[in-house]
This record gives sequence, C-alpha cells and structure tokens, in this order.
Amino acid sequence: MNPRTARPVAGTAAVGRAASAVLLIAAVLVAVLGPVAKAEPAPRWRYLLDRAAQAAEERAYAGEALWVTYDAGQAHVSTFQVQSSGNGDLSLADSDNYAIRLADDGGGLAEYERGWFVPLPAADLAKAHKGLSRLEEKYQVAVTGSQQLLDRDCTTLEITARAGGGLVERLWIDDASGLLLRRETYAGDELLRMVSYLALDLNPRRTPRGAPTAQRATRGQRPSMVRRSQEVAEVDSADLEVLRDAGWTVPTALPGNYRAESSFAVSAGDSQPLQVVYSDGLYTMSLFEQSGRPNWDTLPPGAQETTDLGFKAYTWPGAVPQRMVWEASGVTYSLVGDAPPEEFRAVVAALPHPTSDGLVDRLQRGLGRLWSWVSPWS
Amino acid sequence: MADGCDAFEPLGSAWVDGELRHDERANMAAHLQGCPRCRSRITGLRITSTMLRSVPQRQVPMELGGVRTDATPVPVAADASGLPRALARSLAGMAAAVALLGVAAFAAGAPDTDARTVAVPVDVYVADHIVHSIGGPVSTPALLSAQP
Repeated sequence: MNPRTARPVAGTAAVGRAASAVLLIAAVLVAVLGPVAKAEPAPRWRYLLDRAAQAAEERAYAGEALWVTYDAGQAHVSTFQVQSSGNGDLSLADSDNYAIRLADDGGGLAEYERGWFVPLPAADLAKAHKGLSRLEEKYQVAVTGSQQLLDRDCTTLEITARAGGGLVERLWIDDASGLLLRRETYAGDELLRMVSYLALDLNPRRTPRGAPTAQRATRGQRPSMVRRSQEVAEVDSADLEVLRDAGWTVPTALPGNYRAESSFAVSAGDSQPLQVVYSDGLYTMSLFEQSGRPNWDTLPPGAQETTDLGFKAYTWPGAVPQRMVWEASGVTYSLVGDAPPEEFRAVVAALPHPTSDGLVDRLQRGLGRLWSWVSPWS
Repeated sequence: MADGCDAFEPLGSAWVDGELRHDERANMAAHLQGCPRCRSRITGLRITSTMLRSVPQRQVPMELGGVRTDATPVPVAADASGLPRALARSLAGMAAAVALLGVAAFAAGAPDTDARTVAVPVDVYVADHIVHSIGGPVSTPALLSAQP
C-alpha cells in the first residue's frame, strides 16, 4: 500500500458516509413532508370568505349601510346602522323602525313603531366557516380582481351556479380588515338586491355618552316597551321523527338542494311554532309551522295578499329576507329566506298548500277524518 | 209354486199397504201361511216400500207442471238478472253501505271553519331566521328589513 495514497482513500470514505447520511435524511423528509407538499392549497376565495365571517364577529366597527332591493322592477331603498363590539355582539338598527341585537349570549328585537321588545336566542356569528364546503356543491366561487370601495382596496369575488353558470353573487371584501363591504345578488343578469356600506369606522368609540338612538336600542328593551315572551329550544332529529309521525310537516330537504340543518321549538304567545332551518350552502330559509288557522289581522304592516301560486297567501314585496304566509289544512306556514325569488317560490310550491275543494277532495278529507275518529292508531 | 199363487200375486202390494178388504186379507193370510214363495215376495215388497218412503220428495218445478201445496217448500227463485235472490240482496246491502259511507264522508269533509286561529308574528320570525342564518358562508352584517 502506497502511504501517499492511503489518506485520500480514508477521506473519500468519510465523504461517502456523509453523503449517505444526507441522502437518508432527505429521503426521510420527503417521505414525511411529501404528502403535505403535494396537497393542493385551499382556494383563496375560501380563505377570504372564512376571514370575512370571522371579521364580522371579531372586529369592532360601526357604519351605515344601504339596502336596495328590486321587486317587479320597483326599487325599495333603506338605510340602517351597524355596530359590532368585536366580541360577538352585533347590532343593526333603523332608528325610526327597529333595532336588532345579535350576540353569543342572546339578543333582542325592538320594534319602535309598535312598542314591543322580544328576546332572541343566542347567535353564532362565526360559524360561517362550517358551511363553506356545502357552498361548492351548488356553486362555483372565483376571485375576479380588485377594486376600490370607500377608498379601501377590496378583492372582488363572483359566485355562479354550477347548473347553468349564471351569476348569483358579486362580493367586495376589504383587504385590510377582511370585512364584507358590498354584496350584489343576481338572478341571471338581473340585479335583485344590493347591500353596501356608505360609511365605515374601524375604530369606533366604545359606549359613548349620548349615544344615538340605535345604540341605546341595541342594549335591549326600552322602559316604555312591552316585552313579549319567547322561548326557543333546539329540537333534535329524534324529536323531529316524533313530530313527523304526529303529522307535522318536516321535510328533510327542499327543492334547490336545500337541506334541513337545525330545528327549534318556539314558545310564543298563543302558539308553539316549529322552526326548521334549511340551507343550500349559500342561502338560508326558515320554515315556521303553527297548528291553527292564521289570524290575518296579526300580520305585520306591509303585507299584501297574493294568489300567484294558485292559493291565498301574504307577502311583503321588496322585503329581505323574503317572507310568505299561507294556510293549508288548518296549519299556518310561514317561510322566511334570502333565496332568489324563483327558488323561494319553488319551495313554497313544494310545501303543503290548499288545493281546489272539489267533490273528490272533500270525500278524501272526510274519509280521513272518519278514520281518525275510529282508528286506535290515530 | 202353490196353487192359487197367481190369484194372490196381484194382491201383494195392497197387502203391504194395508188396503185389502177383510175377507181378502183372511184369504191372503191363509195362502201366505202355506206358500213360502209368496211370503218371500211380500217381504221384498215391504223392503221396497220402506225404501221408497225414506227418499225425500222432489218438488216438481212450476214450469214443469208442479203443483204447489202448503206442505211444499217454496223453491229459491232467481231475479231478473239471473242472480240468486240472496246474492242480489247482499249486493244491495253493500251498495247501501257504500252510499251511507259516502254521505258520511261528504258531511265529515266539510271545510273546517271551527279550527282555532293563531297570531303570526312574521317580524319575530324574521329575527329568529336571522339569528340562525347569520353565520352563512357569505355573512353580511345584516339581511334584515323589517319594513320594505
């Protein structure tokens, strides 16, 4: 062995061992991190919408918002004040008409014109992120660009229906705060409604002295108001089955991919309505069912009778969320929701409604009543 | 065959039915005592008579010239459609029951005008709806318009 060549051979071996160690470590890292590295990043729209939902609860802000809705070509315009405490307490008020407070520990609705106040159950403002996965079942969301709104840089998004590809929503999200500043709702190319901030303060003062009417109302009942009792209890799926067997109308799904998500038994006044909340991932509808025929005189102002669906019902043109009340077989149904008008009407048509009272209908109804009198299972 | 059997043979049925005169019965009895053959024939006639009396009488239909008497059972007549009258009565009864049920169902199916009426606080429903839908994935500060 040549002594001059012995040292280089030993160094080569050491380098080889080091290289092997590096390769081994690299292989381990690839094995562990490979799946993560290969995973597709979450879409940016999902991040933006989730952030908007969180910001609605976690940021303190105050502002004035503009509402515009279009009904049969007629525009309905209103403004309201918004105030968020930044800890899950949100209030909305129209100083002449109403104030509503939503909070994790419960809120209330104050109706100024008629002088009453009703407590509301707890609201979970930040649960929006839980519904984002369902949004993709029926809709497609895309980031379309950037625009300025209220001198603030915003990212714009568009939501289109998977079936047909028609535009459904256009959104403006503030880049700095994450808040949703403007929302336009479409049916095809027709603008249905728009809500947008006219002014926004991201550093509102807390409980200022001489607060405007809206802020006083959002803290609850005024001394002069009549308090209306209302208790709400969640109804689980087992109880829903019992109610269904007892004859209550509790569909698990409605046309347009609306699925029942939650249900509540409301105890208020002379009736105990059942509320079932449906959602398609983007829009939400609540069906209220009461045993008994409606006292039409108790409907809030603005109600207009309609027979467009082939039976008598009452609606409030231009109001959002939409609302319709009708009666079928001694049961009062009230549907409230922000779905596009065509989907709203399709849901109403799918629910029980009065049919023409011909001889066959009368005999069927009579046989059913006779059976219920004699059957031990009725 | 004993002498005189030919004279007594025609009287055998009358002897069995008890229709002979007194003197004929005496002569017949004297002959049967000495004639085994006639005694056997009389026995056969009694058995045949008994069998005939045990068979139920068949009524001759009126169309075939039968004669109705008080003791004669009335046959079941068919109705004009050819159905037995009992079946026709059953069908009529069922039709009456169906008609009665229809009348009862019509009366019971009158529109219910006596059901209680309930207040419909739609404005409160709107607030309840917002409480439970405010967390929608596209959450705006408000989707409320109590008044249009």
